[in-house]
Amino acid sequence: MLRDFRIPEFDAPPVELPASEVDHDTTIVSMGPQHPSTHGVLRLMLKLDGETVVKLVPVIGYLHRGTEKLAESRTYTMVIPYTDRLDYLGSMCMNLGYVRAVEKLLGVEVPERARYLRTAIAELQRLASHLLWLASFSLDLGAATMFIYPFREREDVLDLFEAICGARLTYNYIRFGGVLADMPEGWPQRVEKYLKLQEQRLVEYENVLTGNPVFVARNKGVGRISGEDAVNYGLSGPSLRGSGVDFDLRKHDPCDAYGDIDFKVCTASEGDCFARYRVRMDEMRESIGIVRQCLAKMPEGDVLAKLPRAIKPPAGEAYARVEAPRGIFGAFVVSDGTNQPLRVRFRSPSFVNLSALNQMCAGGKLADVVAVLGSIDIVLGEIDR
Amino acid sequence: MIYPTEMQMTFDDFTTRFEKLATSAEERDGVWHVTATPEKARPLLESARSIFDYPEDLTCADEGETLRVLYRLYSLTQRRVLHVHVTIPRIGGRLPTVSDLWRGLEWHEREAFDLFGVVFDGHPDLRRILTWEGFQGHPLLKDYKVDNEDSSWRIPEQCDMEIVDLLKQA
Repeated sequence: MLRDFRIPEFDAPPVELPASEVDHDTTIVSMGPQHPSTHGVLRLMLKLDGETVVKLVPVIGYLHRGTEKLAESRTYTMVIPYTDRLDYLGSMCMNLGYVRAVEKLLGVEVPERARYLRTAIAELQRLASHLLWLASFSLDLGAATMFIYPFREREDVLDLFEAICGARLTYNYIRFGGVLADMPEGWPQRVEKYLKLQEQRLVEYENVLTGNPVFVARNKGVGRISGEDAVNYGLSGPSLRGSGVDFDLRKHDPCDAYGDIDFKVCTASEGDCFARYRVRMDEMRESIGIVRQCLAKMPEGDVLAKLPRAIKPPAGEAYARVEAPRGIFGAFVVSDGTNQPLRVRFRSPSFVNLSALNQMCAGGKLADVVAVLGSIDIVLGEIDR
Repeated sequence: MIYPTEMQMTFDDFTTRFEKLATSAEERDGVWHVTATPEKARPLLESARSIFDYPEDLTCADEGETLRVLYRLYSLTQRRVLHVHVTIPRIGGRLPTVSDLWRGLEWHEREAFDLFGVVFDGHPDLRRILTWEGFQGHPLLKDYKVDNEDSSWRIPEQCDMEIVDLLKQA
């Protein structure tokens, strides 16, 4: 058993424990921050009893860039690109959250066409994000083939984004009062072509994973969290709905065009990794339906409201939240009447979801930590901000 | 009293219930805003706990003279948002923790401590969260110098001892 604890990279002297304090039954292990399945730079400190996790403490902040502090010395418009870099797999939704908060301050009316476009784009982003989650989650569990399949389809979504705004990862597409640009010619047809393909491919994914005995054995009953605990921890997104709690902002606090779209909130009651997997797979199907409805109902008109070049919201504060791929993304903006915000705060869903990791992993096996971590789908960019 | 979903609580119900604890209350854009003094914050949040079961956010804003702490809570049964504003001194502000009422606010309180220096009494694990151990100052305060050339900070020689202690107790 490992008795002393040291961190080689800092060259710290080994910690000498008095003989009476040496615990022969448990081990303390530092996992990360360079661990491949931590999806970035996350470190987990684990107390293990054999292979069983007694307690787990996440250590975060390795990717802290001080986005909230930076925003205080930039104009309102200059902050939008920073939000792209929070959850870099759901950049459109990050844009949307911040932009909606400032729009609330400005009291600007978003044109109808832009509202539908935003909804369609946010759902395409959800598809892209869930696809990448599916790929990395499968790889975490050792299914290397399934790592490649969803990446292939995600590429199509990125191509669609590139066609509409010129960028593939950090878009800066959603602007105060609307969106940067209207759809290019032939874009709706390309989207439909992609959606049709994606529908078939979803069936293929399910064929590979849902009935796979190894995949099921590694997921069912693993990382369980009850609905009550999930609410108490403030989990959101598929991590909350996987515990049977029916809470989706798209339904319960609809923004943009979600109020006019017909879709259902996907939930699963078991609260384990498999339930969270099921919720995301169902959500992808719903997203396809939402994008189709948006494109069919899209009215003609402008995509950007007329606003002065220099954005100067009146003094006050606004809080806006959107259902990002990982859960509730909140943006809190305080204005003092100048062209720079007094305070910008981002409530990131992964930050909260990660705080419940100990609850999900304690009592389970060390190998399952990787599965649970994959199933809550964290992005360190928005955790550390 | 627990309100079932079909029994919607009105703003008047709410204000009568919290009259003694809140300094002021108003409804803005469908959100209930309540102001409380630091002493009354914990009793107010305790009694709000039965209705507002979902902890959404906890954050601060440096308003020059004072620091404002914002608790953002949501009710899954009422589908309603409550903002609780508490004003505390900018430097050395203290508040009782509410992380025992809502576990989800535990990390948010750590973040407020790290970036604003608010001390939450009774918090189980009040350590820095986004910056590193040994970091000096609280970056989101307005008088924090961003272009600080001073590099006197060091990672403590025996870092992680707090976490190891925490794990040992488990």
